[in-house]
Amino acid sequence: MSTETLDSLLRNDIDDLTALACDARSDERNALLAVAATALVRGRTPSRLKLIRFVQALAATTDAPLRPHAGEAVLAPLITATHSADAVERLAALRALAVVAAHTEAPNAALMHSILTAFEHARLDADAEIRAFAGEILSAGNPVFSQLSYL
Amino acid sequence: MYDYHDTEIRAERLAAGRDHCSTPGPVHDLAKLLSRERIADPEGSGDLTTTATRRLIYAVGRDLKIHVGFDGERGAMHAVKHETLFHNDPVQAAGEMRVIAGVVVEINDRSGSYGTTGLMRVDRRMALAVLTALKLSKVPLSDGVLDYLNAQAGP
Repeated sequence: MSTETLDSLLRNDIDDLTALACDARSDERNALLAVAATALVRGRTPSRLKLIRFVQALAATTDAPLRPHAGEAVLAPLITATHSADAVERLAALRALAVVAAHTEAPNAALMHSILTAFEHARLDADAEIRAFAGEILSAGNPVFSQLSYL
Repeated sequence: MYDYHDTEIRAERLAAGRDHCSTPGPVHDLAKLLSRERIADPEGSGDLTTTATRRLIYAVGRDLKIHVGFDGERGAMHAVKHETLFHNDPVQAAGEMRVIAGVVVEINDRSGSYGTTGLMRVDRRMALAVLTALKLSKVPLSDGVLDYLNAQAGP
C-alpha cells in the first residue's frame, strides 16, 4: 500500500470509500490506516475532508479494537488537524478522533492526554457545533471520556 | 447536526454530476408508512422487508422527523441518496435500516455524505435523536434495536 494508491482511492466518492472501509479485512484496514496517517501528516490536500472521513470509517467498521500502534499512528495527525484554520476540517478531525480513540486498544497515556487536551481546547472554539461536540465528548458517561478519564 | 451542503464533498459531486440533493424522490416520511403498527412497503403491498439490493437509508431532520428512501446508484438519474432525504438540510443522524416484516431489526450510522459513520457510539446525542424520532413516529423496533439504541444513548 502506497500513498499513490491512497491518492488514487481518494478520487472515489466518499460513499465508495465508506463501503470499502466496511468490507476491508483486518490486514487491509491496518495498511490503509498506516498510509492514511502518512497522508494526514502531509497537510492540506483537495481530498482532506474525504481522507479524514475515510479514516473515521476505517476505525468505525472494525470488528476488533485497533492495535495500539495502528490507532496511535492516525491519532497524532488527527490531533494536529483539530487545530486547522478551517472549521469544517476541525469538526471532522474531532469526530474522527473520537471514533478512532474509542476503537483503539489502550492508547498510551501521553497520547490520551493530548486527545483530552484537544477536546478541552475545542470546547472553547468559535464554532458552536465544535463546542457542542467537544462538550458531549467531555461529559460524564460519554464512552470516549470514560476511556480518557482513566488518566 | 451533520452538514453536507457546504462541504468539499458536495462541491466535488456537483462538478461530477453526482450530487443528489435535488432528486425529487421518492422520499418517505417514515411515520406515514405505518399501517397496523408495521412499516408498509411504499412500493408494494404488505409489510416492508428490505434486502441487500433494496437497502433503506434514513436521516433524522431538525424536527425529529425520519425520512427514508431506497438507496440508489450514485450518478444514476433520480437516485435517492442520503443528501436527498432532506434535500440538503443538515440532519441529526443518518444511516441505514434493515427491516423485516415491517419491523426495524437493525440500524446503523453509515453515511458517506454526512460523515456519520461510527459516531452513534461516541456521540450520545445522535443515538438519542434516532431513538426519540423512532418513538415519536411509533416505529416498530425489535428488542435488539431498542437495546442497542438505549445503550448508545445512555441513561
